[in-house]
Formats: sequence, C-alpha cells, structure tokens
Amino acid sequence: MSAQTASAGESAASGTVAAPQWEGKRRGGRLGNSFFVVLTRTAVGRALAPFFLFWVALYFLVAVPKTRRVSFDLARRVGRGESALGRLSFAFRHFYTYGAMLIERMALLGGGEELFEIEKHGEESIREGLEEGRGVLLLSSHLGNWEAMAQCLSCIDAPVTLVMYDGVQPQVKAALESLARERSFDVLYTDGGPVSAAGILSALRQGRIVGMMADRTLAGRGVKLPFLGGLADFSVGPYSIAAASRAPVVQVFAMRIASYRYAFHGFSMGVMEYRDRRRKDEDFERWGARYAERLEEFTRRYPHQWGNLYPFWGDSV
Amino acid sequence: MEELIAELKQCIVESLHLEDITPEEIETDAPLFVEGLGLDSIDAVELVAILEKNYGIQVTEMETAKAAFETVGTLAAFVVENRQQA
Repeated sequence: MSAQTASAGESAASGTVAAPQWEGKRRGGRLGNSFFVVLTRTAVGRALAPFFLFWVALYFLVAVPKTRRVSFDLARRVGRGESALGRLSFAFRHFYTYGAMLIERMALLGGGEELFEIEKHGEESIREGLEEGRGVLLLSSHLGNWEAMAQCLSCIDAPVTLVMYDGVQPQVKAALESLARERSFDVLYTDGGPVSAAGILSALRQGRIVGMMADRTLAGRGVKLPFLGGLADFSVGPYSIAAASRAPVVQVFAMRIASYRYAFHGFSMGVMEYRDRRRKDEDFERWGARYAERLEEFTRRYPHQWGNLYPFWGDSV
Repeated sequence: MEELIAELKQCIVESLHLEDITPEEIETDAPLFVEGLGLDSIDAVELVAILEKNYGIQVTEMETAKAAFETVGTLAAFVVENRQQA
C-alpha cells in the first residue's frame, strides 16, 4: 500500500486530503494486496479466512508477549481473567477478532461494501444535531471497527471530516487516504496546534460531521479518568473543540456483531459549554467521565474488540 | 500596532487564564507554542476563538495561519491584515 495522494488534490499546506470525484469501483488493485482481495472477495477465500485467522491469533498468543500481556490485563479487568485458561482463551479470541476485523477492513477498502450488513441505533442523534447548523462532532474510540463507522456515516447526507493524529503509521495513513477517496470524506491531520484547531473549527462551521478519537492523548494535555478498574489518560482536545464550536456532540460506536455484520450506535452528549472558563479542567473531567463511562459499558459488552493494544493504564501492565 | 500588540497580550493572559505571567512580561517575538510561552492544544483552540470573537477573523487559509500563530508580533500583523480585508 502506498500513500498515493497525487490524485487526491491534497493541499499540503492545510494538512487536509480532499476527496476527488469517485473514479470507479475497482480499487482493490491499488492496495497492491491481492491476498486480501482473494480472502474477502472469493468464496474460497472466505471459507479459508477462519483457518488463516486461527494461526495468526495463535502466533500472537505465543510469540508476542507484550501484546499477550495487554490482553491478559484486559481479561482481568472485564472479569474473564480468573484462571490461566480463561486468560488464554480470552486473548486468543481477542487476537482472532482483531484479525477478522482487519480482514473486513480490507474488504471495505477493496470496494466490498455490498458484503456488509449495518444495523443502526441512534443515528437520528446525528441528523438532529446537523439541524442546529453548527456541524456535529462525533467522538469515537479504538473499540470496534472505524472503517465500518465510515460506512455507517455514508448513509447520512452530510460531508464528513475525520481527524487523525499526524503521528499514525504510514500504512494506516495510506489505508485511510484510500478509504477517504472511496467514501468521499476528508481527512484532517492534527498536531494539536492552532492551525489544526482552526481547520477543525472551520469544518464544523461548514456544517460538516467531524469525527475525532477521544480515547488517546495527543502529547501533553490529557485527563486521568476511572476506567475499567483503573485510571487511564483520555484526551481533552475534543472537548475544547466542542465548547469553542458549540457543535452538538455524539459518542459513536461501530461494533462487530458477526462476520461482516456491524451495529452502529450513536449517543447524544449535547452541546458543551464551560461552567467556569477559569476551571476548564473540571469541565473536561466531567465530560470525559461521561465518555469513559459509556466506553466502559461497550468494552465490557465487546471486550474482544478492544483496539488499544498497548498498556492503556500506563506501564503497570 | 503597538496598541494592538499590548491588547493581544492582555487578551492572551485573560482568556487563557495564564497565572504565572503578566501581559507586560510576554515577549513580542517569543514563540507562542511549545517553546517560549509554551501554549498547548487547548490554548490553540482558545486563540482561534479569540480571533473570531474579538476581531471577526475566521481562519481559513491554513498556510498563512501557520506563520500568524508563531509570536504575538506575527499574530498582530495577521490581525491588521485580515481586519482590513473584512
């Protein structure tokens, strides 16, 4: 996969990749990864995928101790880690699910949206939010499958901008830009600076749906919140954007129900206004706690779809 | 311009609730972000909001914005230029 942005009309100065006219469906080859195309688009491939996933999951379980420890820790936190066998089977299923979602991501990137069934719950909170005319800020997380999220959003008739941290790995960047071209949404890279802030506020002002992740901190400002039996750092940037823009905020999830079947959930968080501008940290903590609480609820329901495969609660793992 | 610079410094201290520094102590040509004044991502959002609220400037040209937010001096120049066009 290469970051072929030349055709995307990228404005390097603004850090925004704008989606051009949709040029055609056969994008699978662009990925340069016929393996995934076979795995997802052919009957043989789809029959063999579980076999492939089994060995990949086993590999991670046996040969990658750092990731295994992360999964064991998560198992304990969601009450599945009482016994060694419990932790092992949790971790295996965790890695298997991660792999299955990765394959399904590739299927979407390859233009296979007809393979998917999406159930929608609470999407009206986005439509209603758009009516207020200040855009809608979606708060997402690394639980579930964000590509499926983009698929869910395509049914709402409003332009979408996804905010990504500039430090993501090149392959993720390339995959994202490829998907952006497919689904006609913009990507805005943020570095936490004023130019990024202006870009995000501008996008909301234009009435766009703007998606931000709120479960990881950009270097610097964060807030420690209770989450799954410990304290973890969550970002506060999205809340300052919410307060400055007065855009309605919706917390969203795209959870895997079964193979190629996803459920979208949207929960309105209202419009955020500071109680006391001198004590913003208190408001950040209040709003963050609501977000973390809902995230905990969904993580307990779908723990194998946890995608923060690093010591989320610090180096205590 | 001097008046505007003083005004901006006052605004920055007040709106960003900077407790350790007075407007007079802010160096006109010191960096605003990371180094110098050391403003962070939350302050960035506030600063953009200040430009909009106090000076009616909506930052849309990202290339010029980058240079504008370097110091108080560059910010003042940016305000003067964009105020005239408004």
